[in-house]
Parts: sequence; C-alpha cells; structure tokens
Amino acid sequence: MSAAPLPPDEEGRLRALRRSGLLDSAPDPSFDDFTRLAAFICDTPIALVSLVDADRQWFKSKVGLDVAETPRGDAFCAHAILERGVTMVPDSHADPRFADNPLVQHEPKIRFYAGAPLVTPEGYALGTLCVIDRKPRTLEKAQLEALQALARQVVTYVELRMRTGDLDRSTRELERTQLASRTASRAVQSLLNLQRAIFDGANHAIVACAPEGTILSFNKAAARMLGYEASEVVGSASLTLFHDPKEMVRRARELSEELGQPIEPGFETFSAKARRGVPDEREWSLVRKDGTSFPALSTVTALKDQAGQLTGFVELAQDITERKQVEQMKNEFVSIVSHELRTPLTSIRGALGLLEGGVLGDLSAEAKEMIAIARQNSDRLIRLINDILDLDKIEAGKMELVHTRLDAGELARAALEGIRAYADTASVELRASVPDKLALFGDRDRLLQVLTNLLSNAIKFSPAQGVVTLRAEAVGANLRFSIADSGPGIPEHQRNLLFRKFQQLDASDTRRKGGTGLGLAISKAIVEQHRGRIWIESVPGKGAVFFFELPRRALQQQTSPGALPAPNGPRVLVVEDDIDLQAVVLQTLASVGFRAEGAGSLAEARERLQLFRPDAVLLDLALPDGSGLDLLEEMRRDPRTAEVPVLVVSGTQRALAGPGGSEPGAPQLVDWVVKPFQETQLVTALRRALRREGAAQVLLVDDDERARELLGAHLATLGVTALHAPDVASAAAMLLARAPDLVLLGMPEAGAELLTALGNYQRETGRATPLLLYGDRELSAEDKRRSAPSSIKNLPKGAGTQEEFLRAVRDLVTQLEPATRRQGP
Amino acid sequence: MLLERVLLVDDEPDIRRIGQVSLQAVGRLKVWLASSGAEALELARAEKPDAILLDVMMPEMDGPACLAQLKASPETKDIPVLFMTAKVQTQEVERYLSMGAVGVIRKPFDPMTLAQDIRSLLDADEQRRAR
Repeated sequence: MSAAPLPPDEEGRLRALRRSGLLDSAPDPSFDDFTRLAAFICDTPIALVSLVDADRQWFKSKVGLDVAETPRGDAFCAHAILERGVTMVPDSHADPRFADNPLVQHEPKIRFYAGAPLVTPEGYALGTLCVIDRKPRTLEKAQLEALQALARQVVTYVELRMRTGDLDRSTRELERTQLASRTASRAVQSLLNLQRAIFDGANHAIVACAPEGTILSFNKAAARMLGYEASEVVGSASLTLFHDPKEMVRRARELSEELGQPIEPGFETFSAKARRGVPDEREWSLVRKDGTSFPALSTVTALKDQAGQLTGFVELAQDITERKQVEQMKNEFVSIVSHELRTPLTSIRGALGLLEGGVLGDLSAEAKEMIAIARQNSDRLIRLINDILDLDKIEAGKMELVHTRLDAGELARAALEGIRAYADTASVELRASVPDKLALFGDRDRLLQVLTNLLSNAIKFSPAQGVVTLRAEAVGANLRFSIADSGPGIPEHQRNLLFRKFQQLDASDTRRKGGTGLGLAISKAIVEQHRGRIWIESVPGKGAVFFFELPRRALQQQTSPGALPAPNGPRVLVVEDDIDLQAVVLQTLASVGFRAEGAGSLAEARERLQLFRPDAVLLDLALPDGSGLDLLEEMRRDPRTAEVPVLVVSGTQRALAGPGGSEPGAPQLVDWVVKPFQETQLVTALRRALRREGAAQVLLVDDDERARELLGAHLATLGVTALHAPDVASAAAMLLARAPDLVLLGMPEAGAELLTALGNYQRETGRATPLLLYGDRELSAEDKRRSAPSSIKNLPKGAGTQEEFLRAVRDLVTQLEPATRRQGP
Repeated sequence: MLLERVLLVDDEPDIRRIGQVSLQAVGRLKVWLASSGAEALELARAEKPDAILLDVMMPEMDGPACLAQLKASPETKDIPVLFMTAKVQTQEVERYLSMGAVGVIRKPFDPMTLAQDIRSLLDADEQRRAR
C-alpha cells in the first residue's frame, strides 16, 4: 500500500480547514442529510463527510460506520483530495494502492470507494463526500454527477455556516463594545466630576492657558485669591496679568542666563522651562485685581496630548503669605537668640581661656582637664551658633554675595593653606590639581568657606595616611571643583540626606567628629546662591568625591537698595579686552542706572568714542592692539573728547606722574582702580568721576539741632559735607543754592511738604535727588507715588536701631563718595 | 607701633573684666575701661591711649557713632580704633573698616591671644599706610 502524497497547497488547505471551524465540532443534522442522500443516490451502505486533517481524517457526518476518525495514511480520501473530480476505486483488492490497506483487510472491509472533493471557493479541498461498499461495483454517470453536485452543496453549506458564525461573533462583539463604552463613559463622567470637584474645591489657584498664554480655565480658588471672576479673564486675558512686571524682567534675565538663550519678559518667562519639559516651581508675587500683591508658590507645567503635541500650560499657585510670616518670625528669632547667646559665651569662653592658659596661677592636672573640656565645648557651641546664623542668613536671602573676579588656583591654595594644620594633625596628605589661569566670579570668602568645609569633611573621614585630593577644571561654561577622600564612602541612599541640616550618616558622628552637622547644608546654600550645584559620587569602601560646579560668569546681584533709577543715565564706555570681565562690568553698571557699552580693543574704542559719545570712559591699559595710555593721549588731543573723564582700570598701580587732568585740555584722568576690584568700588569711583564737583553734599533737614550735629559729625568721617536746614523752607532754598546729592529728613510730618519741594526742584533743574526719611511714621502710598522718579528710602524709627539707620546713611553716601581707605594713592 | 595703653569700651561688665585681665595679665598692657560711648570719649581725650577697642552694639551711642565723634575731634582723631563685634558677616567687617576702624576683633575672642591680635591688626594697618 502507498500513502497519498500531500497536496501542493497543503499549508493553506489546513489553514482553511481550521478556519471552517468544522473539525471536532458537534453533530449537525444538515450534514447527516447530505450523507444519507449520498448513500441513497449511490445505493451504498456507507456514506461519509470526511475532513482530511494533518495526520487523520475526521468524519463530520457518517452513515453506516461507527468510527470517528482514522489515520490519514490509511485514508482513501487523502487520495481523493488530490483530484478535482470524483475518485473511484471499483475494487480495492485489484488496486495496488489499497489492496493491503487495513481498512480493506479489516473492518469496514472496503471493496468499493467513490469520493467527491469538497473544494472551497479559494480552491482548497478540505475533505470529501464519499460513498463506500463492501463489494466491488461501479457508479452510473448520473450517480457520479449527483455525488459531485452534493459535494458542492456541502461546501456551500460550510461557507454559509462560517459567515453566520462571523455575523454572530460581530453581533456579540458589538454588544460587548457598547456595554464597555457605556461603562467607560460613566467612568469618564465620574472622573470629570472628580476633576471639577478638585478644580473648584482646591486651595490652590489653578489656571490653565493655551500655548500662547490665553487663559482657558480659572478655578474658584484663583478667583478668591486674585479677585477676578473667571468670566473676566477666561478667553481674554493672559497669565501675565497676575504677575509683577518687574519680577518678570528679573526672572527673564535669570532664565536667559540659565538656559543660555534670550528669554523675553512676559509669558515666555513662565512657560520657557515647562516648555522644555521641566515643571517650573518658584516663588512669585502675584498681583490682585486691586493692585495689591501676595507671595505665592507657583508651579507651571506643560500640557501635552497623546502625540506629545503641546496643548497649553497649567499654573498651580498657593498663597504662602502665612508661611512667609512664620519664616520671617523664625528668622528674626534665630538671629536675636544667636546674638544674645554670643554675649554670655564671650564671657564664658574668655574666663575659661584665661584659666586654661594658666594666667591666673597653676591648676591641678585634673582641674586643667576639666577646664579644657569646658573650653572645648564652649568653642563647639560658638561654632554651632555661627553656623546657624550663617545658614539663617543664607536662607533668609540676607547674605549678600560680594562678586569679584577670582582665580581658581589662588582660591584652592588659600583653602589648602587654611586647612593644612588640621590635615597634619590627622596625618592626611593633601594633594591639589588646579590649572593656572582659571578665572571665575564669585564671593571669595564664601567659596573659601565651601572649599574649607568640604576639605575638612574629607580629612575628617579619611584614615591616617589617607589622601585628600582637590581638583578644579573648566567644564563648558562652568568651573568644577572636586574633593576626593579615601574614607569609607557614602551609600547611595544617604547622599542627598547629607545636605540637609543636622544630618550626619551616623548620629554619633556629630560628637565623635566634632562637627555641627550644618557644614554641608551651608555649602549647598552658598553654591546654590552662586547658581551652581553640589553633589556626591561614591563607591562605598573606596571613598567619596564631593563635586560642586559654578557658572564662571556668576549673575550679578540685583540693583542695590538706594540705587538711583536713571532711564537716561550717564553713558559709560567700558574698554576692556577680557570678555568675561567686560560683561560683568557692563551688567553692574546697567544695574545701577548707567547706560554702558563695551569695546574690546583700541580700534573698537576709537569707533565707540565717536558714535556712542560717552560721558565717561573706563579704560583698561593692556589691550590687544596697544596701550590704553595711547587712547588717553588721543582723547586729550581731540577737543570733542578732551573733557571726558577717564577712569583707568589696571592690573598695576598708577604709573603716571600726577593726575592727567592737570594739563590744559587734557581728559580728566580722575581715578585709578587696581584689579581685582569690587564692583561697588568701581561704581563709586565712576559716580565721583561723573560728578566732578568735589565732595558729596548731604542736606540734613531736622528741627533737632543736636541730631543734625551728631549726624554731621558722622558724615564728616566719610568726607561728606553736611548742609543744615531746620525746616522745609530753608531746605528748599538750600536745594537751589547748593544742589545736594542726598537729602536726609528727620521730621516725617514734613515729608509731604519736602517731597513737593523736591518735585519742584526737579522740574526746574532736572536733578532727581534721593531722599532718606527717618522717623516714626511711614510715608503714605500717595506720597511715595508723588516722589517718583527720585528714589526714596523710609526707615521707621521704632523698627530699626540707630546702627541700622547709620548703616543706611552710609550705604547711600558710599554711592556718592568713595570710601577713603580703599582707593589707590 | 608700640602698644602699651589700651582703652576698652564695652557695656557688658563681664566682658570688660575678662578683656581687662587678658590685656593686663597676658598682654602686659595698661588698660582703661569705659562702659559707654560717652565715657569712652572722655577717657580718650584725657588719657590718649595707643589704641581703642570699641564694642559695636551699645545702647545710646553705639560703636560707629562713637568712632565718628572720635574722628571729629582733633584730639582723638589719630588714635587707632578697633571694633569688637559679635557679627560675623564679611560685609559688616568691610563696612566697619570703611568707617575708619583699623581692624575688627570678632567676639567671642580668645583671651590668650587678644593683645597679640590687636598688635597684628595695628601692624597690618601701619604697613598699608606705608605703601
């Protein structure tokens, strides 16, 4: 016997068979009708609908046979599906293909077989409709045709059955979908309700806006906080409505620096960070409809659709007035307590120091030990108070950084020098790798404090004979310091904790290592105030590396208090080839009301002199295309520039003999500032250069003669001339006669009157004179408004100490007159 | 410069006493004590000390006001003045210097080195002037 070969399309045929869903399906009377009909037409005892599966034939319907399936190898039908017409075997005994077939030899003892293939519309023969007899015979032509016709009907029925099934399934699918969508829409609705409840019930103002800023929704808390109704702002106003324009300008400047590209003040100021995928959380003063403002903590987040397309922004803001007040109270408390603590500590520390030093006679060894313990602990208490005060100042934003140009190498050397004794005691070796000529701007003392802190920590946690390495390198626009130790290292989860207050890895460390637990928190605060960041990398067991990175061009402080706003301020040309330094000077001058332009070379300076026509020149002597002294010569020969005051900024002390101004027609070489200089020093010198009329004059208006004299004596030490006026009438006369640089008023009740006098004076002469008011009453908002544009400071008598008052006077005067000690010869 | 006679001005009696012991016993100096700015002005005029150690925070006349008065009088304007302060900010120190003080001693001070610290500050100032 020989098994039938596989049809060429066997794979597709089997797929079609599976798809039909007939295999192993439940009995179906329709199929039985076909087989009964076939047996009747062909007059055979057996008729089957046989489906040829991969390794068997399975009978969907059968007449005269009781098996469900037989192996495919034995199947007559496996042969029949190879044909498209009827396959007939009249006598199996006479056919070599089937003579020894088990189905021939044994039950059902097939002698005769005729099978019509069941061919689908795609052309696959799924099986056969076949008739079988136990004796040899043949079929009439009509019977053959009928068998074929019946086979076609079987296929048609199979197809029909399949489509009905599909339809059923589709219907069921549809029903399921409908149900799901009903459930979903209920869920969506309840989610929307929830959102609405959160939106309106929240204590945060929630304002959503379109990508360009138009407000799209405005919740109840926002209405409550800001005083607008949703209907007044939705669809018409922009988010910028609630923000202080001045604050926006400041923030835009910071952001431009931070992101390295210009950010316009306005909506972009809020959205720039969020647009870049960073939620922007910060404190703002929000402005109410009535013009009053309050501090708020606000977060701006970008909204995106599923495709990642920007659809708008949402601002979440929280009124933090109360928090601010509490903070303020806490800060004042800390500051007062710390100061009060220092006074008794000075006595304790002093008394112990004298005893320990043996000044008052010898002590027993035990007494000496006890005194030493007391002295060491009072030292620790002092350190702790210093640290708390420091941190408090930084956190309250009261620590003003004095930015100067610094050299990383010099800074590193100073830090190492200061800590060397400690390293020697601990037997730890200090190494440094700091390249030359790496400049940065920052507060020297504060950065030194950070380096000292980190070095001292590194030494503290290094074993004897360990090594601590200090490195500095430029990384892009930043300067990166790193301090590596050979200590036990720091597990990852503890690294960020370290920068919190009073955090040490092991609480017992505080006592064992003698630290205050504030050093790293202070370092972090200082680094962040320099707009830098600090972090730790460590492999436990192999030491830790503390990094901090600062922008090499630190941002300048805001305009100092008391600075005169001068939109049409004097023009200053800054001739300086060091781009970093030039930028800082320009920014400094701009921040205090000058209109400043830069020139990097002699050639550029000549051009700017003609076009920009400065009122004063800041001149660096070492320029790439020659000496600044040449420019000074040229200026002196040109009548147009001969009168312009020049302030020389040089790395060396003054080299010229006598002031240049002594020669007729010479540009006035008015001052000589030695680098590195502090910005305030420069501004002071520049102001003096521009004033050109001698010492600053301060008009004291007070009916208390003793007060005037006391203040006058104090001002005299600053080289300032005091003019006296006991009342507003004589003050007005004095204004016109002497044109003072600053007016101090000690009679607040005369404030409004004096402001009127100052306003008249300004209209007549164009001179805006700053006014410092001290007394027990604040100026009214109306008075302040009238005082614009001259600047005004108000020091209520009850709120400040005498020292604070004198400091404010000094600060204002310092801007008028250079401090005598710090200038060149 | 030769430092032999010092006027110590502080409103806290304990600190005056400790300063006195320190300057006398350790520093071998002659010490006058004043408990207020007014008293300080009087003693400065009368005794012409080599240096004045002046507390910043005092009631009525504080350190800077006292300094201004000292500088305003031809009799006392050349006496070097050092401030004593519990404040630690660099800016504050800078400001005191700009008022005409020659140095700042921070509180709490070390009584074993106080006289030496004063001498160092006076020397540094003298060198600055010489330049």
